[in-house]
Amino acid sequence: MELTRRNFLKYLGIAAAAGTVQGKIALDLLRPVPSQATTESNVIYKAGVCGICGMNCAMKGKVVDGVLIKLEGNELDQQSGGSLCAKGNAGINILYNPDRLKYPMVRTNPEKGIGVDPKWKRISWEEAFDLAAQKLSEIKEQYGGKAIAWFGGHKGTDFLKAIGSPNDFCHHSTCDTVREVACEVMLGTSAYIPDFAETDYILSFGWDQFGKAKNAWARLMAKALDRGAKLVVFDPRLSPTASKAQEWYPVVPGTDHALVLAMLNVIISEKLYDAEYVAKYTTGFDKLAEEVRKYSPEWAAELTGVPAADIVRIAREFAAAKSAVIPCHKREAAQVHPNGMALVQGMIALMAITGNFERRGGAMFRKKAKLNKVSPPEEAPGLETTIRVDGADRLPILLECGHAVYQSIADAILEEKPYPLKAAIIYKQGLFSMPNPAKFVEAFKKLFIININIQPDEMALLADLVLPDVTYMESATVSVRKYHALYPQIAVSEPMVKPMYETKSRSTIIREIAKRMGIDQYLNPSGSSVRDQQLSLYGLTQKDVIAQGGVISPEGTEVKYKDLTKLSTPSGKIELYATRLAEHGYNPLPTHRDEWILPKPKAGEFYLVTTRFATHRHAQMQNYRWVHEIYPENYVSINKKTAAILGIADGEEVIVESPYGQIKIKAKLTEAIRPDTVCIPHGYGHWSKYLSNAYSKGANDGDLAPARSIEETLEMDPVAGSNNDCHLLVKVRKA
Amino acid sequence: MAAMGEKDLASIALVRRLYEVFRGPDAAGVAELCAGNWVSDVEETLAVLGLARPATWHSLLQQLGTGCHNREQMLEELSVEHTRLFVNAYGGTPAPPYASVYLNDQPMLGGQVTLQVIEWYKRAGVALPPDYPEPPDYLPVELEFVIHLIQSIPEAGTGQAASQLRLVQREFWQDHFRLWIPQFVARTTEESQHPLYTASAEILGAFVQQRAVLV
Repeated sequence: MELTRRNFLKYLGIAAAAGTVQGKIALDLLRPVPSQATTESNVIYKAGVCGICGMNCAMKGKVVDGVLIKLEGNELDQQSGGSLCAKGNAGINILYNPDRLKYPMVRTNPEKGIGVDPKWKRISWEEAFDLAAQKLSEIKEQYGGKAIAWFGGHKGTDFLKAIGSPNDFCHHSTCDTVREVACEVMLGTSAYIPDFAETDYILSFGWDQFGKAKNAWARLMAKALDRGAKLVVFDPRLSPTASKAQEWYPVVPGTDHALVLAMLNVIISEKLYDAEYVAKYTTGFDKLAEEVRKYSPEWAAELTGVPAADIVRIAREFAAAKSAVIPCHKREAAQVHPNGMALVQGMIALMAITGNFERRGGAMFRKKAKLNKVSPPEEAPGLETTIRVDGADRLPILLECGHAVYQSIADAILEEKPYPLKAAIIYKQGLFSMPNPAKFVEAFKKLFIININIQPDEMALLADLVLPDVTYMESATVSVRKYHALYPQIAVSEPMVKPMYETKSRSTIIREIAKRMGIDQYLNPSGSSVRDQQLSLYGLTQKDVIAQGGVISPEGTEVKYKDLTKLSTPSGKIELYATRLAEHGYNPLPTHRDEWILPKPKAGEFYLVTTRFATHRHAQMQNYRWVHEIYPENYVSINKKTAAILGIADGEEVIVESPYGQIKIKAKLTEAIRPDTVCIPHGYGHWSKYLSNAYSKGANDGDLAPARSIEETLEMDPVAGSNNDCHLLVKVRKA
Repeated sequence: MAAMGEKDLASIALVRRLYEVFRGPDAAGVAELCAGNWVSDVEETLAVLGLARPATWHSLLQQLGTGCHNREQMLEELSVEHTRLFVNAYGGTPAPPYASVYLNDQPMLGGQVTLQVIEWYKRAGVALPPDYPEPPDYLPVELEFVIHLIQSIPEAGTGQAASQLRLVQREFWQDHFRLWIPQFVARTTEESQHPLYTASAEILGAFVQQRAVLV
């Protein structure tokens, strides 16, 4: 055959002559560069900020030829202290997970539900932005901006303001609102730092730091124990933290509050409190003393199962300790039972009357660094209404703290009360962050959902439009140290690698949608110049901070004390009697409410407690390869003796049933839990078949939890609006 | 300067036609399919290379015969199937088009495999533009690299530069390309519900098998 007759040459655009061809075919992608005979790699370190949990440890990324090889802690950061936890190390797994969302996609299957394949189709960003803007504009036109909600981290607050919607939803009422609200009303701040580095005495009410493994706190608490600090743990199960304690009391679930009240009673009646500190820095002591007089150690012993003599002794030890702290973060004993808000109030009072706030080794106030503020070029026109779909407008202090009533949203959508919701933009909120997800799935079927996400999780499956987000390893940020800010400190991150595939940042995505809706002038500016503007307060740019190692401490690294007469409370002091609560008609004292104690379980019934593995953050990391290998699935822990009565063997599948749902899960028999209590680690049972590691492994404890309506929530916790996930009894039987 | 022979040219044309398929469908690609250009080029190059048409060739022709009546629908079907096979799929993406997923110790991108690919590109005098969003071991990029090697080796003549390119080609093919492509092909042919992807994967597999012993 004659080569010149070949049709494919035409395709190649090459003229052939004399049987051979000279010249080259142009390539689409690869570009010529001078070839390098050597194979030397180009190794650099990039400044980063971990995005796995809210601690946001500063880190460094080892990058070779544009490929991220390893993440390491940044030693300049007071939080990471130069090391990362297992979760932080595994962050690279999401960057390079082949399951990751890569391009904008639209569902082609209109049917939605658990186990339904959306049959995605890849589309261009232009198509995606146009579709999002068109749908949202139509809904805004027909039902008003209020028919559009944002779920996730207050990252869309400016967008909601621009469309006039008050429906800014976040998950905290299933997480830590009781701690935050109690701290706000008593201390004028949302949290305190347990200063493990110098503490002598740690009292834990279900607070399982070694189980939860927040980098700075787990590391520093381990050091405190090495130094000989005393750790006393009240927890229905022998948690990782309890296993390291000098004393562990398997308290009756939901009764911790009684212990705190009895300890207050002992310390006040025996005059073991720091009278000078109380007089100088607190208000309402007499009212507190009057309130706790009725809570005797014997009364608490009856409720909690902890011997009265031990309660008295521990109270005396706590008061006598040079420094002592009761750490409180989220979802421990406090958040999951209806006496939770009062429990945190009591914990704060215990530390306050023993003089442990702003004392090294006690509870320190967060010293957050300031940044220059940025605001939108134009002020948004204002909200259409202050009435919110979740009902948070009925919990004024919760709303002032910036939070929502997460659990009530499903009922509100389904019943279209107080008004119909039609669309939601959901960012970084997995379906498994929601209690009773089956109810939320039914609710979400009614909405047009735009999901900005990294993983193809259950929320992505329910979405109409899936928009791929960048990871924190592909983006830049300015991050003020928060959780463990003993002194002001700022970390700056730069993209370690360029965004993979066609992923885009949330701010870019929202700006493009807003532009098409004609409302982008109301959005907060974003981007590199804004980050430089934030840092200009210190006369620095991002580049300068990175040149200084990625972390700066603008006021030095010395710990300065806050003036406890100048707090952001109405009196300026620690308010043992919280006047802000009184002003709103709530109980300002940590009064015990007997009606919120669960009935004793009958045979086959159990209290439920939940936990999570130290290598996982909530339901977000089950598909991360390395940590998946460590804990591929969860289980329900049952006491060996109880299991024998029920005829349940180790590893056998059982049904756990609550008034709200049931799950099938493997049993793990142990002696390290109360015989009347079962424990389930959270985050498993993923049903998204797009998650190749996590799919179908274990079960979701959230299926057992209620998604309480706003009315039910107001009855149980009218102040902080918590869902009280574990205020229930479950039944366990062989599957 | 040596020139490329007919088989080299056929290889380049075939690999480019496959590149178009694996990169993902668009309206222009559907037009090429429906005009018969894609099919005739592939048939001709297979003949030059002495490779058989794949088993699914007939059903592909049938599908194009009926499908081309509604090109918009064909593009939709190809897009959904391309997304399912290679991007994100219910039940796990059958055939992620990234070498590292097959060759790293764990099925993840990045790592040593990607670094090795970058090194071969460097030694062969090519690089991806900084703003190109896909990783270096993305199948369409590696297919372009195959083309680059085929056409730059004769151009380099007989000196040291040519022997370096031949060494790169041998390493790339023996330590990398011939190892992961058969796995990718097996997964694609097993899962594909569209003859364009099944046939293209089969052809890729046959081409790699044939050429791997030559380089």
